[in-house]
Amino acid sequence: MRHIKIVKKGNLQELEKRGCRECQASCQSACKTSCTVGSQRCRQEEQDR
Amino acid sequence: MADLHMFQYRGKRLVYDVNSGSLHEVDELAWELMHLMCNDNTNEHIDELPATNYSRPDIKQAQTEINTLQEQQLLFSSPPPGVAHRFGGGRLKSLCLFMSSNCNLQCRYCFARPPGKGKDNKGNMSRDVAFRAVDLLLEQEGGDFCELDFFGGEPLLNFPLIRETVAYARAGGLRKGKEFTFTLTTNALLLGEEVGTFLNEEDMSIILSLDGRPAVHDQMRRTLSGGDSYARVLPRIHKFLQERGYNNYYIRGTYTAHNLDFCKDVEHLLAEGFDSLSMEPVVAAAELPYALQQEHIPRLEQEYDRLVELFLERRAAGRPFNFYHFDMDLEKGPCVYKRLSGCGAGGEYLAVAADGTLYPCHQFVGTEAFRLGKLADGPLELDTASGERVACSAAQRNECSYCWARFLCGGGCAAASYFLAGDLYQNDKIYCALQRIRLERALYLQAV
Repeated sequence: MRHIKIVKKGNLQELEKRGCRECQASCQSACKTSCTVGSQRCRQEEQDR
Repeated sequence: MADLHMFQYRGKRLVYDVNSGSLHEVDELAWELMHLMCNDNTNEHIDELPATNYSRPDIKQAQTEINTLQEQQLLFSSPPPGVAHRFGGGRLKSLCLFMSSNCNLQCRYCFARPPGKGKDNKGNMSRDVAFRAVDLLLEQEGGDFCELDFFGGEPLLNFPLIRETVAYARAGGLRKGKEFTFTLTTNALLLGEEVGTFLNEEDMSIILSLDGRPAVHDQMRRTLSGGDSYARVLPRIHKFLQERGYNNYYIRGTYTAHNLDFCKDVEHLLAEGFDSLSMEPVVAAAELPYALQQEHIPRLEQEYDRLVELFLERRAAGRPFNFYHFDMDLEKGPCVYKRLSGCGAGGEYLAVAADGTLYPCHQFVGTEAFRLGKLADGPLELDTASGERVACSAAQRNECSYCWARFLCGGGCAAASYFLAGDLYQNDKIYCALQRIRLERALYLQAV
Protein backbone atom coordinates (compact mmCIF):
# COMPACT_ATOMS: atom_id res chain seq x y z
CA MET A 1 0.00 0.00 0.00
CA ARG A 2 1.30 3.42 -0.90
CA HIS A 3 -0.72 5.77 1.19
CA ILE A 4 -1.60 3.72 4.24
CA LYS A 5 0.67 1.56 6.32
CA ILE A 6 -1.03 -0.92 8.62
CA VAL A 7 0.77 -0.56 11.91
CA LYS A 8 -1.31 -3.13 13.80
CA LYS A 9 -4.27 -5.25 12.85
CA GLY A 10 -6.60 -5.08 15.83
CA ASN A 11 -8.44 -8.12 17.12
CA LEU A 12 -11.70 -6.59 18.30
CA GLN A 13 -13.81 -8.29 15.67
CA GLU A 14 -13.01 -11.70 17.19
CA LEU A 15 -15.37 -11.96 20.12
CA GLU A 16 -16.79 -15.35 19.19
CA LYS A 17 -13.32 -16.79 18.81
CA ARG A 18 -12.46 -16.11 22.44
CA GLY A 19 -14.51 -14.50 25.18
CA CYS A 20 -13.32 -17.18 27.61
CA ARG A 21 -13.26 -14.72 30.53
CA GLU A 22 -10.03 -16.18 31.86
CA CYS A 23 -8.01 -13.00 31.52
CA GLN A 24 -6.49 -11.23 34.47
CA ALA A 25 -8.57 -8.74 36.42
CA SER A 26 -7.12 -5.36 35.57
CA CYS A 27 -6.86 -4.08 39.11
CA GLN A 28 -4.60 -6.93 40.14
CA SER A 29 -1.94 -5.34 38.03
CA ALA A 30 0.57 -2.61 38.54
CA CYS A 31 -1.71 0.33 38.49
CA LYS A 32 -4.33 -0.25 41.18
CA THR A 33 -5.96 3.01 40.19
CA SER A 34 -6.04 3.45 36.42
CA CYS A 35 -7.78 0.68 34.58
CA THR A 36 -6.28 0.20 31.14
CA VAL A 37 -7.71 -2.98 29.74
CA GLY A 38 -5.59 -2.55 26.61
CA SER A 39 -2.58 -3.34 28.77
CA GLN A 40 -3.93 -6.73 29.74
CA ARG A 41 -2.90 -10.04 28.27
CA CYS A 42 -5.10 -12.72 26.78
CA ARG A 43 -4.29 -16.06 28.36
CA GLN A 44 -5.50 -18.01 25.32
CA GLU A 45 -3.29 -16.00 23.02
CA GLU A 46 -0.31 -16.48 25.31
CA GLN A 47 -0.92 -20.22 25.48
CA ASP A 48 -1.20 -20.37 21.68
CA ARG A 49 2.15 -18.67 21.20
CA MET B 1 -19.60 10.13 12.63
CA ALA B 2 -17.21 7.29 11.92
CA ASP B 3 -15.46 5.57 14.77
CA LEU B 4 -11.98 6.72 13.85
CA HIS B 5 -9.52 8.56 16.04
CA MET B 6 -7.18 10.57 13.84
CA PHE B 7 -4.28 12.33 15.49
CA GLN B 8 -0.85 13.63 14.66
CA TYR B 9 2.05 13.06 16.95
CA ARG B 10 5.75 13.75 16.43
CA GLY B 11 5.32 14.06 12.67
CA LYS B 12 3.21 10.96 12.18
CA ARG B 13 -0.41 10.92 11.03
CA LEU B 14 -2.05 8.07 12.88
CA VAL B 15 -5.52 6.63 12.50
CA TYR B 16 -6.94 4.35 15.17
CA ASP B 17 -9.96 2.37 14.04
CA VAL B 18 -11.99 2.12 17.23
CA ASN B 19 -14.16 -0.89 16.37
CA SER B 20 -11.38 -3.16 15.14
CA GLY B 21 -8.58 -1.81 17.33
CA SER B 22 -6.39 -1.40 14.24
CA LEU B 23 -3.78 1.30 13.91
CA HIS B 24 -2.66 2.86 10.63
CA GLU B 25 -0.07 5.39 9.62
CA VAL B 26 -1.19 7.44 6.66
CA ASP B 27 0.16 10.10 4.34
CA GLU B 28 -1.37 13.53 3.85
CA LEU B 29 -3.62 12.47 1.00
CA ALA B 30 -5.14 9.50 2.81
CA TRP B 31 -5.48 11.69 5.90
CA GLU B 32 -7.51 14.28 4.02
CA LEU B 33 -9.61 11.67 2.31
CA MET B 34 -10.42 9.94 5.59
CA HIS B 35 -11.34 13.27 7.15
CA LEU B 36 -13.86 13.82 4.42
CA MET B 37 -15.17 10.27 4.76
CA CYS B 38 -15.54 10.58 8.52
CA ASN B 39 -18.56 12.80 8.13
CA ASP B 40 -20.70 10.51 6.04
CA ASN B 41 -18.68 7.32 5.56
CA THR B 42 -19.12 7.39 1.78
CA ASN B 43 -16.55 7.18 -0.97
CA GLU B 44 -17.84 10.16 -2.94
CA HIS B 45 -15.23 12.69 -1.93
CA ILE B 46 -12.64 12.33 -4.65
CA ASP B 47 -13.74 15.53 -6.36
CA GLU B 48 -13.47 17.50 -3.13
CA LEU B 49 -9.71 17.12 -2.88
CA PRO B 50 -7.71 19.87 -4.61
CA ALA B 51 -6.44 18.54 -7.90
CA THR B 52 -3.50 20.88 -7.64
CA ASN B 53 -2.21 19.03 -4.59
CA TYR B 54 -2.77 15.46 -5.69
CA SER B 55 -2.92 13.66 -9.00
CA ARG B 56 -6.12 11.88 -9.88
CA PRO B 57 -4.40 8.44 -10.01
CA ASP B 58 -2.96 9.04 -6.54
CA ILE B 59 -6.35 9.94 -5.14
CA LYS B 60 -7.87 6.85 -6.71
CA GLN B 61 -5.09 4.70 -5.29
CA ALA B 62 -5.64 6.08 -1.80
CA GLN B 63 -9.37 5.53 -2.12
CA THR B 64 -8.78 1.95 -3.23
CA GLU B 65 -6.55 1.33 -0.21
CA ILE B 66 -9.18 2.71 2.11
CA ASN B 67 -11.87 0.57 0.48
CA THR B 68 -9.72 -2.54 0.80
CA LEU B 69 -9.12 -1.94 4.49
CA GLN B 70 -12.80 -1.23 4.98
CA GLU B 71 -13.70 -4.56 3.37
CA GLN B 72 -11.24 -6.26 5.71
CA GLN B 73 -12.89 -4.57 8.70
CA LEU B 74 -9.66 -2.77 9.57
CA LEU B 75 -10.90 0.74 8.83
CA PHE B 76 -14.33 2.30 9.20
CA SER B 77 -15.22 -1.06 10.69
CA SER B 78 -18.63 -1.81 12.13
CA PRO B 79 -19.12 -2.31 15.88
CA PRO B 80 -17.56 -5.61 16.96
CA PRO B 81 -19.79 -8.64 17.50
CA GLY B 82 -21.21 -8.76 20.98
CA VAL B 83 -20.83 -5.07 21.57
CA ALA B 84 -24.53 -4.69 22.22
CA HIS B 85 -24.45 -7.30 24.98
CA ARG B 86 -24.48 -6.22 28.56
CA PHE B 87 -21.37 -7.70 30.09
CA GLY B 88 -21.54 -7.63 33.81
CA GLY B 89 -20.14 -9.45 36.76
CA GLY B 90 -19.05 -12.81 35.45
CA ARG B 91 -17.34 -15.50 37.49
CA LEU B 92 -15.53 -14.28 40.57
CA LYS B 93 -11.88 -15.09 39.94
CA SER B 94 -9.90 -12.46 41.73
CA LEU B 95 -9.75 -11.19 45.30
CA CYS B 96 -7.77 -8.38 46.85
CA LEU B 97 -7.12 -9.22 50.50
CA PHE B 98 -6.47 -6.46 53.01
CA MET B 99 -4.10 -8.67 55.00
CA SER B 100 -3.56 -5.81 57.37
CA SER B 101 -5.26 -2.49 57.39
CA ASN B 102 -2.52 -1.25 59.66
CA CYS B 103 0.44 0.38 58.07
CA ASN B 104 3.97 1.31 59.08
CA LEU B 105 3.76 4.44 56.94
CA GLN B 106 1.23 7.24 56.95
CA CYS B 107 1.16 8.31 53.31
CA ARG B 108 -0.75 11.51 52.84
CA TYR B 109 -2.56 10.34 49.71
CA CYS B 110 -3.54 6.89 50.99
CA PHE B 111 -7.07 6.10 49.80
CA ALA B 112 -7.41 3.30 52.36
CA ARG B 113 -7.56 5.56 55.37
CA PRO B 114 -9.29 8.88 54.76
CA PRO B 115 -11.52 10.20 57.58
CA GLY B 116 -14.77 8.27 57.93
CA LYS B 117 -13.56 5.27 55.95
CA GLY B 118 -12.47 1.91 57.13
CA LYS B 119 -14.27 1.25 60.38
CA ASP B 120 -14.58 -2.41 59.39
CA ASN B 121 -11.06 -2.52 58.10
CA LYS B 122 -8.95 -2.33 61.21
CA GLY B 123 -6.14 -4.59 62.33
CA ASN B 124 -4.93 -7.77 60.72
CA MET B 125 -6.97 -10.25 58.75
CA SER B 126 -7.58 -13.52 60.59
CA ARG B 127 -6.75 -16.96 59.24
CA ASP B 128 -10.46 -17.76 59.18
CA VAL B 129 -11.22 -14.82 56.90
CA ALA B 130 -8.24 -15.44 54.60
CA PHE B 131 -9.08 -19.13 54.19
CA ARG B 132 -12.76 -18.36 53.58
CA ALA B 133 -11.68 -15.95 50.88
CA VAL B 134 -9.68 -18.70 49.20
CA ASP B 135 -12.64 -21.06 49.55
CA LEU B 136 -14.87 -18.48 47.93
CA LEU B 137 -12.66 -18.51 44.84
CA LEU B 138 -12.41 -22.29 44.82
CA GLU B 139 -16.19 -22.64 45.02
CA GLN B 140 -16.75 -20.72 41.81
CA GLU B 141 -17.96 -22.84 38.93
CA GLY B 142 -15.78 -23.06 35.83
CA GLY B 143 -12.56 -21.33 35.00
CA ASP B 144 -9.00 -22.47 35.50
CA PHE B 145 -7.42 -19.37 36.99
CA CYS B 146 -7.75 -17.60 40.32
CA GLU B 147 -5.90 -14.53 41.55
CA LEU B 148 -5.08 -13.36 45.04
CA ASP B 149 -3.63 -9.94 45.69
CA PHE B 150 -2.14 -9.24 49.11
CA PHE B 151 -2.82 -5.63 49.90
CA GLY B 152 -3.47 -3.27 52.75
CA GLY B 153 -2.43 -1.16 54.71
CA GLU B 154 0.86 -2.94 54.62
CA PRO B 155 0.28 -6.64 53.92
CA LEU B 156 3.69 -7.71 55.22
CA LEU B 157 2.58 -6.74 58.74
CA ASN B 158 0.66 -10.01 58.50
CA PHE B 159 3.36 -12.00 56.72
CA PRO B 160 2.84 -15.32 58.55
CA LEU B 161 -0.73 -15.40 57.30
CA ILE B 162 0.36 -14.60 53.75
CA ARG B 163 2.57 -17.67 53.86
CA GLU B 164 -0.27 -19.82 55.20
CA THR B 165 -2.76 -18.44 52.70
CA VAL B 166 -0.51 -19.17 49.74
CA ALA B 167 -0.04 -22.75 50.91
CA TYR B 168 -3.76 -23.15 51.53
CA ALA B 169 -4.64 -21.76 48.11
CA ARG B 170 -2.08 -23.92 46.30
CA ALA B 171 -3.38 -27.05 48.02
CA GLY B 172 -6.99 -26.12 47.28
CA GLY B 173 -6.12 -25.29 43.69
CA LEU B 174 -4.58 -28.73 43.24
CA ARG B 175 -7.73 -30.37 44.57
CA LYS B 176 -10.05 -28.32 42.41
CA GLY B 177 -7.88 -28.10 39.29
CA LYS B 178 -7.43 -24.34 39.53
CA GLU B 179 -4.22 -22.40 39.19
CA PHE B 180 -3.56 -19.49 41.52
CA THR B 181 -1.46 -16.47 40.74
CA PHE B 182 -0.39 -14.11 43.52
CA THR B 183 0.51 -10.47 43.67
CA LEU B 184 1.61 -8.36 46.60
CA THR B 185 1.79 -4.61 46.96
CA THR B 186 4.22 -3.36 49.58
CA ASN B 187 6.01 -0.26 50.79
CA ALA B 188 9.10 -2.48 51.25
CA LEU B 189 9.84 -1.50 54.84
CA LEU B 190 9.49 -5.13 55.96
CA LEU B 191 11.09 -6.64 52.90
CA GLY B 192 13.77 -8.60 54.70
CA GLU B 193 15.58 -11.81 53.88
CA GLU B 194 12.94 -14.28 55.04
CA VAL B 195 10.13 -12.42 53.30
CA GLY B 196 12.17 -11.94 50.13
CA THR B 197 13.11 -15.60 49.93
CA PHE B 198 9.48 -16.64 50.31
CA LEU B 199 8.21 -14.19 47.68
CA ASN B 200 10.89 -15.28 45.25
CA GLU B 201 10.33 -18.98 45.84
CA GLU B 202 6.63 -18.47 45.18
CA ASP B 203 7.43 -16.32 42.13
CA MET B 204 4.93 -13.79 43.37
CA SER B 205 4.42 -10.64 41.30
CA ILE B 206 5.49 -7.69 43.40
CA ILE B 207 4.40 -4.08 43.24
CA LEU B 208 6.80 -1.87 45.16
CA SER B 209 5.66 1.61 46.13
CA LEU B 210 8.32 4.19 45.40
CA ASP B 211 7.49 7.66 44.11
CA GLY B 212 10.80 8.71 42.58
CA ARG B 213 13.17 11.39 43.79
CA PRO B 214 13.84 11.24 47.53
CA ALA B 215 12.27 14.62 48.28
CA VAL B 216 9.15 13.76 46.25
CA HIS B 217 8.81 10.37 47.91
CA ASP B 218 9.39 11.69 51.41
CA GLN B 219 6.96 14.55 51.05
CA MET B 220 4.03 12.13 50.79
CA ARG B 221 5.27 8.84 52.22
CA ARG B 222 6.02 9.54 55.87
CA THR B 223 6.87 7.12 58.66
CA LEU B 224 4.56 6.87 61.66
CA SER B 225 6.86 9.19 63.57
CA GLY B 226 6.75 11.70 60.72
CA GLY B 227 10.18 10.87 59.32
CA ASP B 228 11.44 10.15 55.82
CA SER B 229 11.04 6.69 54.37
CA TYR B 230 12.96 6.78 51.08
CA ALA B 231 16.37 5.98 52.50
CA ARG B 232 14.90 3.11 54.48
CA VAL B 233 13.09 1.40 51.64
CA LEU B 234 15.47 1.85 48.70
CA PRO B 235 18.21 -0.57 49.85
CA ARG B 236 15.60 -3.16 50.73
CA ILE B 237 14.03 -2.90 47.29
CA HIS B 238 17.40 -3.27 45.58
CA LYS B 239 18.42 -6.24 47.67
CA PHE B 240 15.12 -7.98 47.05
CA LEU B 241 15.13 -7.34 43.30
CA GLN B 242 18.76 -8.39 42.93
CA GLU B 243 17.80 -11.76 44.34
CA ARG B 244 15.06 -12.19 41.74
CA GLY B 245 17.14 -10.83 38.90
CA TYR B 246 14.98 -7.73 38.62
CA ASN B 247 12.13 -9.84 37.21
CA ASN B 248 8.39 -9.93 37.78
CA TYR B 249 7.99 -6.61 39.55
CA TYR B 250 6.73 -3.08 39.10
CA ILE B 251 7.98 0.00 40.81
CA ARG B 252 4.73 1.83 41.34
CA GLY B 253 4.87 5.56 41.95
CA THR B 254 2.17 8.14 42.48
CA TYR B 255 2.42 11.67 41.18
CA THR B 256 0.51 14.57 42.63
CA ALA B 257 0.20 18.32 42.17
CA HIS B 258 3.50 18.56 44.05
CA ASN B 259 5.45 16.79 41.30
CA LEU B 260 3.86 17.64 37.99
CA ASP B 261 7.37 17.13 36.59
CA PHE B 262 7.00 13.44 37.36
CA CYS B 263 9.14 12.44 34.39
CA LYS B 264 12.11 13.47 36.51
CA ASP B 265 10.95 10.85 38.99
CA VAL B 266 10.84 8.27 36.22
CA GLU B 267 14.36 9.30 35.23
CA HIS B 268 15.45 8.95 38.83
CA LEU B 269 13.99 5.45 39.05
CA LEU B 270 15.69 4.47 35.80
CA ALA B 271 18.99 5.83 37.08
CA GLU B 272 18.53 3.60 40.11
CA GLY B 273 18.40 0.62 37.76
CA PHE B 274 14.66 -0.09 37.80
CA ASP B 275 13.19 -0.89 34.40
CA SER B 276 9.59 -1.88 35.09
CA LEU B 277 7.64 1.18 36.11
CA SER B 278 4.14 2.43 36.69
CA MET B 279 3.60 6.07 37.58
CA GLU B 280 0.02 6.87 38.48
CA PRO B 281 -1.92 10.07 38.97
CA VAL B 282 -3.09 10.50 42.55
CA VAL B 283 -6.75 9.82 43.30
CA ALA B 284 -7.73 12.67 45.61
CA ALA B 285 -10.65 14.97 46.25
CA ALA B 286 -10.23 18.29 44.45
CA GLU B 287 -9.99 20.33 47.65
CA LEU B 288 -6.85 18.56 48.83
CA PRO B 289 -3.63 20.52 48.25
CA TYR B 290 -1.93 17.71 46.35
CA ALA B 291 -4.94 16.88 44.12
CA LEU B 292 -4.55 17.21 40.37
CA GLN B 293 -6.60 20.00 38.84
CA GLN B 294 -7.90 20.69 35.35
CA GLU B 295 -5.32 23.43 34.85
CA HIS B 296 -2.54 20.89 35.39
CA ILE B 297 -3.48 18.91 32.28
CA PRO B 298 -1.36 20.85 29.71
CA ARG B 299 1.67 20.56 31.99
CA LEU B 300 1.09 16.85 32.47
CA GLU B 301 0.69 16.38 28.73
CA GLN B 302 4.16 17.85 28.25
CA GLU B 303 5.43 15.47 30.86
CA TYR B 304 4.02 12.46 29.00
CA ASP B 305 5.68 13.85 25.85
CA ARG B 306 8.98 13.89 27.67
CA LEU B 307 8.29 10.35 28.83
CA VAL B 308 7.86 9.26 25.20
CA GLU B 309 11.22 10.86 24.35
CA LEU B 310 12.83 9.10 27.26
CA PHE B 311 11.22 5.81 26.25
CA LEU B 312 12.62 6.13 22.72
CA GLU B 313 16.05 7.32 23.86
CA ARG B 314 16.42 4.34 26.14
CA ARG B 315 15.15 1.93 23.52
CA ALA B 316 17.63 3.30 20.96
CA ALA B 317 20.43 3.00 23.48
CA GLY B 318 19.60 -0.68 24.07
CA ARG B 319 18.32 0.00 27.58
CA PRO B 320 14.53 -0.21 27.17
CA PHE B 321 12.12 -0.05 30.08
CA ASN B 322 8.49 -1.02 30.65
CA PHE B 323 6.04 1.70 31.44
CA TYR B 324 2.73 0.14 32.41
CA HIS B 325 0.49 2.54 30.52
CA PHE B 326 2.54 2.40 27.35
CA ASP B 327 2.28 -1.37 27.30
CA MET B 328 -0.34 -2.29 24.73
CA ASP B 329 -1.01 -5.30 22.55
CA LEU B 330 -3.50 -4.43 19.84
CA GLU B 331 -3.09 -7.70 17.97
CA LYS B 332 -3.04 -10.23 20.79
CA GLY B 333 -4.59 -8.28 23.63
CA PRO B 334 -7.89 -8.91 25.34
CA CYS B 335 -11.03 -9.62 23.34
CA VAL B 336 -14.15 -7.47 23.23
CA TYR B 337 -15.65 -9.13 26.26
CA LYS B 338 -12.77 -7.89 28.39
CA ARG B 339 -12.76 -4.48 26.76
CA LEU B 340 -16.41 -4.03 27.69
CA SER B 341 -16.31 -5.46 31.17
CA GLY B 342 -13.52 -3.15 32.31
CA CYS B 343 -11.42 -3.96 35.33
CA GLY B 344 -13.84 -6.54 36.70
CA ALA B 345 -14.58 -4.68 39.95
CA GLY B 346 -17.85 -5.78 41.51
CA GLY B 347 -18.05 -9.03 39.58
CA GLU B 348 -14.88 -10.89 38.67
CA TYR B 349 -12.88 -8.92 41.16
CA LEU B 350 -13.76 -8.09 44.77
CA ALA B 351 -11.85 -6.79 47.75
CA VAL B 352 -11.95 -8.30 51.23
CA ALA B 353 -11.48 -5.97 54.19
CA ALA B 354 -9.46 -7.21 57.14
CA ASP B 355 -12.63 -8.24 58.99
CA GLY B 356 -13.99 -10.16 55.99
CA THR B 357 -16.36 -7.54 54.60
CA LEU B 358 -16.54 -7.68 50.81
CA TYR B 359 -16.46 -4.65 48.53
CA PRO B 360 -16.43 -4.19 44.75
CA CYS B 361 -12.74 -3.26 44.76
CA HIS B 362 -9.90 -2.13 47.00
CA GLN B 363 -10.82 1.53 46.61
CA PHE B 364 -14.36 0.98 47.87
CA VAL B 365 -13.23 -0.77 51.06
CA GLY B 366 -14.80 0.98 54.03
CA THR B 367 -17.49 2.73 52.01
CA GLU B 368 -20.73 1.63 53.63
CA ALA B 369 -22.92 1.99 50.54
CA PHE B 370 -20.87 -0.63 48.73
CA ARG B 371 -20.74 -3.43 51.32
CA LEU B 372 -21.49 -6.68 49.50
CA GLY B 373 -21.47 -9.14 52.41
CA LYS B 374 -19.18 -10.57 55.02
CA LEU B 375 -17.09 -13.72 54.88
CA ALA B 376 -16.98 -14.22 58.63
CA ASP B 377 -20.76 -14.32 59.15
CA GLY B 378 -21.36 -17.98 58.38
CA PRO B 379 -22.79 -18.73 54.95
CA LEU B 380 -22.02 -15.82 52.69
CA GLU B 381 -24.94 -13.86 51.32
CA LEU B 382 -23.40 -11.83 48.58
CA ASP B 383 -25.18 -8.67 47.53
CA THR B 384 -24.67 -9.42 43.87
CA ALA B 385 -26.98 -6.61 42.75
CA SER B 386 -24.74 -4.01 44.31
CA GLY B 387 -21.63 -5.61 42.80
CA GLU B 388 -23.31 -5.85 39.43
CA ARG B 389 -24.10 -2.15 39.61
CA VAL B 390 -20.39 -1.40 39.85
CA ALA B 391 -19.43 -4.07 37.31
CA CYS B 392 -21.83 -2.73 34.72
CA SER B 393 -21.23 0.93 35.35
CA ALA B 394 -18.37 1.07 32.83
CA ALA B 395 -20.72 0.18 30.01
CA GLN B 396 -23.31 2.67 31.19
CA ARG B 397 -21.23 5.83 31.34
CA ASN B 398 -22.79 7.89 28.65
CA GLU B 399 -19.66 9.80 27.72
CA CYS B 400 -17.84 6.53 27.08
CA SER B 401 -20.28 5.50 24.37
CA TYR B 402 -18.80 8.00 21.94
CA CYS B 403 -15.22 8.19 23.26
CA TRP B 404 -12.58 6.72 20.94
CA ALA B 405 -10.69 5.26 23.91
CA ARG B 406 -13.56 3.12 25.23
CA PHE B 407 -12.11 -0.23 24.14
CA LEU B 408 -8.69 0.64 25.55
CA CYS B 409 -9.64 1.92 28.97
CA GLY B 410 -12.69 -0.33 29.40
CA GLY B 411 -14.83 2.54 30.61
CA GLY B 412 -12.37 3.56 33.25
CA CYS B 413 -12.44 3.15 36.97
CA ALA B 414 -15.72 2.92 38.90
CA ALA B 415 -14.03 4.23 42.03
CA ALA B 416 -12.70 7.27 40.21
CA SER B 417 -16.20 7.93 38.92
CA TYR B 418 -17.77 7.56 42.33
CA PHE B 419 -15.20 9.34 44.45
CA LEU B 420 -14.04 12.02 42.02
CA ALA B 421 -16.99 12.62 39.70
CA GLY B 422 -19.50 11.87 42.49
CA ASP B 423 -21.49 9.30 40.51
CA LEU B 424 -20.80 5.76 39.28
CA TYR B 425 -22.18 6.72 35.90
CA GLN B 426 -20.25 9.92 35.38
CA ASN B 427 -16.70 10.39 34.16
CA ASP B 428 -14.07 12.32 36.01
CA LYS B 429 -12.77 14.83 33.50
CA ILE B 430 -9.18 14.83 34.71
CA TYR B 431 -9.01 11.05 34.88
CA CYS B 432 -10.33 10.72 31.31
CA ALA B 433 -8.08 13.46 29.94
CA LEU B 434 -4.98 11.76 31.35
CA GLN B 435 -6.15 8.42 30.10
CA ARG B 436 -6.52 9.72 26.53
CA ILE B 437 -3.15 11.49 26.68
CA ARG B 438 -1.43 8.28 27.73
CA LEU B 439 -3.27 6.17 25.18
CA GLU B 440 -2.38 8.42 22.23
CA ARG B 441 1.26 8.15 23.20
CA ALA B 442 1.00 4.40 23.69
CA LEU B 443 -0.50 4.12 20.20
CA TYR B 444 2.27 6.26 18.76
CA LEU B 445 4.86 3.97 20.32
CA GLN B 446 3.28 1.07 18.45
CA ALA B 447 4.14 2.87 15.23
CA VAL B 448 7.83 3.59 15.84
